Amino acid sequence: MSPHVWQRIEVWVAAICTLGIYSFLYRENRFYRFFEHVFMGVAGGWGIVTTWTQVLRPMWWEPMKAGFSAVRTGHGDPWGALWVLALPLGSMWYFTYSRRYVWISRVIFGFFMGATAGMGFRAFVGGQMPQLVSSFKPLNSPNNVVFVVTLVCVMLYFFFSFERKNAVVRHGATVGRWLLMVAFGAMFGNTVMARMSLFIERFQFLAVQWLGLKGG
Amino acid sequence: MAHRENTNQGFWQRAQTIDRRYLFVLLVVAVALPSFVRISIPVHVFDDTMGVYRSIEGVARANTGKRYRKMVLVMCDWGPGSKGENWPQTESVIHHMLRRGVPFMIMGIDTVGPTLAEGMAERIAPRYGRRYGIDWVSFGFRYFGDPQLLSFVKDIPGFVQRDIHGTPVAKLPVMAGIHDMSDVPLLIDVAAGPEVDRWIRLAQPTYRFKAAFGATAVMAPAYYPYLDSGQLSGLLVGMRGGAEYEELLGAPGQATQGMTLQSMAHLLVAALVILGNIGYVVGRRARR
Repeated sequence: MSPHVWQRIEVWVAAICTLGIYSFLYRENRFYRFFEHVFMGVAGGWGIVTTWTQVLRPMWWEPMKAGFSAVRTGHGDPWGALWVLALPLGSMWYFTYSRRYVWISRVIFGFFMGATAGMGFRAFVGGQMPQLVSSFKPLNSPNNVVFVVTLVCVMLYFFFSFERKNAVVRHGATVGRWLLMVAFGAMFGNTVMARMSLFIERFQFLAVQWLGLKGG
Repeated sequence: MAHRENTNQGFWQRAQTIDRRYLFVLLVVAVALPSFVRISIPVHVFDDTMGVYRSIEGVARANTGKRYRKMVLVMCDWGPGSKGENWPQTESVIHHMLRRGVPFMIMGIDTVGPTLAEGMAERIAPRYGRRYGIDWVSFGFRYFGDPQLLSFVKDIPGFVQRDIHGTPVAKLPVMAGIHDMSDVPLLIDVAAGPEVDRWIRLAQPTYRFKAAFGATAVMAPAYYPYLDSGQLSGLLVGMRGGAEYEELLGAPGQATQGMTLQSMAHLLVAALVILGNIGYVVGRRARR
């Protein structure tokens, strides 16, 4: 079969799958259910194969095999054999399913929690500090004034430690609440734009690639 | 008079409970309209998009006349679920780098994204006489937790070892002179999630590389503070970002066409929001 025919078959399969999933917009139906399961199966299968071929085999299995071969023959790098330790260490996670041996999983959990917390501290300093520093702006432009007023008002809104008796704090917090609403509205507008983009991409596919429409 | 008022209220009340499937049909009609009637809406390039363009141009200028060229790392952390937004962004930046001869490596924590990006590079590269292994390379899908990220930035050849085709890094001319992240002055993360955060938080303070982000529109508002602080040098916002980049390249494509459709859809949504609010107010008055 020629590549062109294969390409047409691919487009038809993709179009039927797209329509199958969109049929849910009319109502829940078997056509949709079928394609939902197809997608889950394909995604699962693809994930397993890719994880093995692109991660586990080249980064764990092959260095370990080469390491053992070096230990046997005396040629090459024998340190790769240490990758075998990943197997018992990784298996420790699965003891969480056993009531009797759950303590084994806690050892590896503890190790990872410690490592993650350590990296979390580092990430906080690296990620937030530049933003904290950049929030101290000179009031020399309308943009900076808007930024600083918004920052102060929104911070006032989140002061829950004491009662807001002072009129400036109370009104500032109210303005902060309104500014938050404006920000949420802008975010929701972006969400609408994102969802439309996904639909438009599928529409373009169906109209141009499947039906062959050229557009106005 | 009273009868007309009742009819009016009846209409608005019915409009409040309209079957959402009619709205879906309206949306399809709005999006299909520009396919049959020539409607063109100009694309304005914003500073956040311009920042990504300038960053790539900066690498191109820095590489001029150098024996070992610095590379750009393109992380493709997206899959078919966000293709409408991330595809045009990835395609545009790859197009730009191939045109300007900026070497780049493709990688990703998504199992599909890097494969799709390789396809784009293979399709565009012959136009500019660029070749795999000399001008670009792909390391495909890699599992990237925080420890792996820290290993990668310290020793890139030691971490990746082989490319997607199994060729050792030492045999790839494009990787000559690349040791750690200080040889990669620009990271472009095109993602459907917040993966760029980890690069900014864990690696940028040490290696001082520029970072640009191709974000879905949902995520973009959360990343403006990063632009403000200089942690991001540029931001591509959803399909709009892709369309603006196509405009900068003078190569209108899928995103540019999509933005006209997007505008029609937004007009419809705005009209429905206004109608919905009128209906709400009229209904409330009627209840009083």
